[in-house]
Amino acid sequence: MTLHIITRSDSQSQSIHHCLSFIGKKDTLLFIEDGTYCILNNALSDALQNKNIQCYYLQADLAARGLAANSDIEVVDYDGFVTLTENHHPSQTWG
Amino acid sequence: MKFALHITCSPYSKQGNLSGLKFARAVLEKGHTLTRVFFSSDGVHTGSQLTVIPQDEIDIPSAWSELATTHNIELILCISACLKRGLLDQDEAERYEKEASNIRQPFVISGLGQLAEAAITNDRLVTFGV
Amino acid sequence: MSTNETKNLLFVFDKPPHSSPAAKEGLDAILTASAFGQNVTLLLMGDGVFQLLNNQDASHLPTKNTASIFQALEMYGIENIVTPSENLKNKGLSPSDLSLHCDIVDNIQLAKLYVKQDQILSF
Repeated sequence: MTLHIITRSDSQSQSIHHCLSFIGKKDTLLFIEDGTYCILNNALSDALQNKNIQCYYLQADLAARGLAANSDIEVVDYDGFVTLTENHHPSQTWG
Repeated sequence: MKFALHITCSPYSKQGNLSGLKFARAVLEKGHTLTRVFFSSDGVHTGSQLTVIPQDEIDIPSAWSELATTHNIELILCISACLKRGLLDQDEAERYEKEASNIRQPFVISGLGQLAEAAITNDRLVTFGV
Repeated sequence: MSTNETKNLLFVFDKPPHSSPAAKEGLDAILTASAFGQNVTLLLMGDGVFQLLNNQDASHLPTKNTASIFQALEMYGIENIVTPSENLKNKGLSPSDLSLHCDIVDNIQLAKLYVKQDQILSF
């Protein structure tokens, strides 16, 4: 199933909302670059949890922005990013 | 697994270009094949040989070149994006009667067909920038 | 090209016209992929649907007008042009505001469309 790669914050772009409107629980989300700021939006986090969607955050991009991973989320390095693309296919990068 | 990448942003205006480079390295470290990286839109600035990067910053264009040379990866710049942005190889410089060419080795200029082909012939296509 | 494979390729445009060259490159790419005999679908997400708004007059802009290329898609065999109904509704648009016939899909149909794809290209 599709890997959706979110690269912008929820205030920079509507992408995360467009994506959330139709993705299913077999899809996977990966937040990279400014997409990692989405971690601060509690309403969004709740919506993702309610839809039972597996979410990953790129560790280096969280750390670069002073964002802390909490126990509810999974973090990956680039090696893990590649693994996500191996296991979830195809991928779409959202600007 | 065979991977191809599509990069749509320039090396120093958005993070996506560097993200793509780091992803490319991880693909190779995991033993996969990276066949082609296609640069479109502002991504083609990666192929300029005239970039000058401060010593305390990562030289992204050189890093792409080194990676491609070491691992035999095709680095392809979208021709229509290149011409508009003043990126010319020797052939195009001669065709349009310009005084200089400025494409970094081993980047090559070609058409968007190379992106379509990459999407068809690789197991994975991952986009950066957008 | 050295392959006989036919793949399902989804092209996603999510940017409005004129302010960036993304759609022009995307159109070139989808036309090429279609010429290679691939099953291509064009999805207009978000502001991408503005590409098809009627009555655009870009004659005073220096960039090449992409509207005519959209009109030619069907002639080149690209018939799967899709936009989500929710997106139209959010923008206060109806199908008659668009210059091209699109399949207006709900979120369930959109999810089904994604399941079929081999690769997704974003512009």
